[in-house]
Amino acid sequence: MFEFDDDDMGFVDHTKQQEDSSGKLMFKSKSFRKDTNPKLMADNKNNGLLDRIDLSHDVFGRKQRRVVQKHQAQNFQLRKKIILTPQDQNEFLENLLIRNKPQILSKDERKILKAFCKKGLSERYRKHLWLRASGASAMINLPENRQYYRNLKKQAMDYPNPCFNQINLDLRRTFFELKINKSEQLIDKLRNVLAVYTKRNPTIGYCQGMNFLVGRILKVMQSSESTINETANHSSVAKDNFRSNSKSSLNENDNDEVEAFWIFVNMVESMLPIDYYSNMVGVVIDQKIFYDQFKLRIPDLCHHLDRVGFDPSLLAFQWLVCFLSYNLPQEVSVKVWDLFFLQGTKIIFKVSLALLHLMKGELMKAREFSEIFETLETFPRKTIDYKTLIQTTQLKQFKIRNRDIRYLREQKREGVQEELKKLVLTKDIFRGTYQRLKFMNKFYLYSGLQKMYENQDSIAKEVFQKSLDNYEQELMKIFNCNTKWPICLFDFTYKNKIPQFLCFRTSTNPPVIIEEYFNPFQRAHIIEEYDPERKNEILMERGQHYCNHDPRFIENFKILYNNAHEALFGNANLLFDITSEMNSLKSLRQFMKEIANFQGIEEFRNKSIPSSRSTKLIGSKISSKLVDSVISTEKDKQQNMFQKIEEIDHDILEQDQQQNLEQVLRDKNQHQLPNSEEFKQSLPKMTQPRYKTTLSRQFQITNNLGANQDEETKSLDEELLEEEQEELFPLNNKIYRAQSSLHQSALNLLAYQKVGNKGGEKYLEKLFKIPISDI
Amino acid sequence: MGNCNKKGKPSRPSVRDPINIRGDKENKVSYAKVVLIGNSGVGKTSIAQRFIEGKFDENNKNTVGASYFQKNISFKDGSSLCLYIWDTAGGEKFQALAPLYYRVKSKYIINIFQNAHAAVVCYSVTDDDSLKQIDTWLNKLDEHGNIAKMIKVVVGNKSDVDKSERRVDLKEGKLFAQQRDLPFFETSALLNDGSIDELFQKLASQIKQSFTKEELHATV
Repeated sequence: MFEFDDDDMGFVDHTKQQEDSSGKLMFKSKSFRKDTNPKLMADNKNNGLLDRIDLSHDVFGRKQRRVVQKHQAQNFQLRKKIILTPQDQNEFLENLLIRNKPQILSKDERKILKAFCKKGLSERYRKHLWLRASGASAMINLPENRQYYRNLKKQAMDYPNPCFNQINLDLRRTFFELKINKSEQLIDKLRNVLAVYTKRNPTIGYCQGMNFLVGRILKVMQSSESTINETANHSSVAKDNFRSNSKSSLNENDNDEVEAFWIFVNMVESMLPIDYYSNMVGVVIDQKIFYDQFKLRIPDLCHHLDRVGFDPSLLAFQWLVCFLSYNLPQEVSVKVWDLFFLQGTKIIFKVSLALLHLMKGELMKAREFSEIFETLETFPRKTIDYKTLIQTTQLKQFKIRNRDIRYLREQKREGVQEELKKLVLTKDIFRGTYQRLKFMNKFYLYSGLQKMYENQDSIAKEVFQKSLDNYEQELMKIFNCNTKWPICLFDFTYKNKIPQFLCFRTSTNPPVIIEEYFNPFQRAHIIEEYDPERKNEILMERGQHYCNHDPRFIENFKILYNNAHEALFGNANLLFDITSEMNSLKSLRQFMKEIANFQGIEEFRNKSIPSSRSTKLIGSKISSKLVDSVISTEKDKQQNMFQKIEEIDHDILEQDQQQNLEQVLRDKNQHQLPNSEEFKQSLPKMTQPRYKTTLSRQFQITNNLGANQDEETKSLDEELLEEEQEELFPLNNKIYRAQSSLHQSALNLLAYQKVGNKGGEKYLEKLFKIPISDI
Repeated sequence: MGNCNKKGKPSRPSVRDPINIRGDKENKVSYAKVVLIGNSGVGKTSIAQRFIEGKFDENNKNTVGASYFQKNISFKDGSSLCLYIWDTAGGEKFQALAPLYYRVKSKYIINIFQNAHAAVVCYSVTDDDSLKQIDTWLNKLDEHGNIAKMIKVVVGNKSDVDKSERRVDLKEGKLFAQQRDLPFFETSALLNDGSIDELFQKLASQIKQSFTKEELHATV
């Protein structure tokens, strides 16, 4: 019914703008005629969101039209006949961003705000805009989130996650534009936010570049703190209550941290594809999309860069990972971010293309690689001003829609997966130290282990401080997993996990996996149900420890490591498909099974550890000829091995999934469904539930959103389930729409579990297609 | 960023054009690709900055992806060598895949290690893990590099720190490099003690010795 494309909606009309004075902005009247559409009006009434806006139109519009001179600069023209004076603009924004209830912005509100932002939003409202547009303010005000941040902050970081070290390394390299004394206080806050996020979601954890994102958000949250005080009395009641409650018990000064945290959470978890920062597959995909769009839209420049040998996707990587905050000056990039929060990822693409367009003159002159690099590095920082940049993004040739990007992401995924597969199958011919280190680096927590022990006075510390040879031999003494850690030390697939299975570790009991974690409403409900007493010490995590399932596994692992045995170092399961969650899980299980069942472990048990000196460094001294010959044979062998992985029986996995499903049906539906009853009978009984999964009302909504979904594979009992859920949760809360894409994936996963292999791959694929929220 | 030597370059249409590189006019200039690698926070960017711009910037930012520098080195015999230096990000997630890969002429996807004539593998003397991980980096070079003669150098950075902060002795580093038959340097990007100029000077002459003129053409 509605078109929401840039060029015809809520947009500055250039011709009119020229007629009027320069600072004035207006909407095309056409776009707002849609307000009179009775259905939309009704919708808005229901939401209660547009009431104020409509009011202000009537009150101010008609009055002001007579009083205000049309050509007065800074006036803001809303609709054909409505001109807002600066006072009215403030009134308007104040109403919309500060006084209104902190809910997600509607499409119309976004449109209006977009027009404001294109002109350049005043500093004073930026903080509120970010909070509202990202959905953070809605999250903050949920009752179960009130102490969430502070609780997580209090949690000790007592497991060896390498992210914590990386955060510490990058803190002092974030605010390079500020003076040291100024940044000191920010650094502490930055550390808190990043560390808390790693605790919240260890799968995504910390990735270099995030420090610039959080740094920027924190700065904005602080910069408007002073103006907050005067407007604080206007802010909503709920917010005030929340503040005063928390103030009494905790440090008052971390409100900006809390706000920055939730904005960041929403950015990473609902505005971006979920594998953007977790294993960076999302970034690689976007990088490719960017290159293609660049080639399509500015072909002559692309050709020129190609000739010189410069690949723009190399630079696009920086732009994408840091949302342009790395390369643009602060005052420009915050304004770009205003639009990003309102419109989503497409802004990053548009602005990047516009940047290249603006630099075209300079770049075409460049004849050398280094000149191009220099231009690209310095030009955006010095010569770009916001107005030109935004006007350039509005050119027809840079029009790109979020749904285009979504579509392209789906398209590119396969190619990227292929490339990554090749990466996994690299030559692996080295023995001794090389091989051991390479093997150990596969384990996510390994590099964090050393740093953790560094500050402790224990035997472990000594082991790590030994010279390399001794260290290698004694490493296994301290290479022990602790089942209290949220990540298993032996989980070499960890980096590949998708945060769909985020869960809470509440005790040493089997972990609860909450599939729709990102639906806060549902989440609180589940926690309460599970363990009400320990609600406050919850750490969200992924926590699956397979290592203690078979006691022989760890023992055999250590013995084989000390003997540098091929069965361990050259295990085919270590070469899992990097972009497939299911396959990697399969590989991990298979790996553990093989090691645990290793035949003839006895003969190695008492053998002495081979000195690494004897096996050391074949690699560096091997002549290139030898290398080549080994590579070719080794490669064949590995390819065979890889094929074998594919053929490994699906038994274990399927069983697990079925048990899962059974659990879902048993737990969540008191009245058993006929289909699940059949399912149950066909399965062996499970002694203890490992997962507890729930379906939520939200799936209904998400289904409507993803209308093009394959309907055939949807089984009957799932539909029944949904109907039932609808009764349980009749609340249709718009807040969760932003997160709905995640639920979609969770749903897909469940569907996959149900249908088994029938069309299962389709659903698996869908796991990765997590689109931006429907803005 | 890349503060590049622009002497005599405007006349050359493209460095990638083989005719120009081997042409008579440019006979004296050769090109070599050098990659700077090592764990995060060991000071790779600082080393590059000290070498290119001769200064140490305390307000550094952590590298995202990779950046690029270029500098000419002249020898006593009048010839010179232009070093293309790729400064890579050490972050664990970046190492895995993304920035190592880029396109040449929009067709071939290659990684940053390909066609590299030399690699400077850095560790920090304040971090013993970064020394241990050098083996991993060397392994990566062997895996992804395609020039068998590639010159590798082990560099221990931050030699200026207090004894109390030091975790890796000079001896230990030396021994480590010796065992692997690699040249070893200890440098300080903070102090202007010439250690980094010496490093690149020696590296350049080593490159010149090991590679023929034909091999030293530009492959960015």
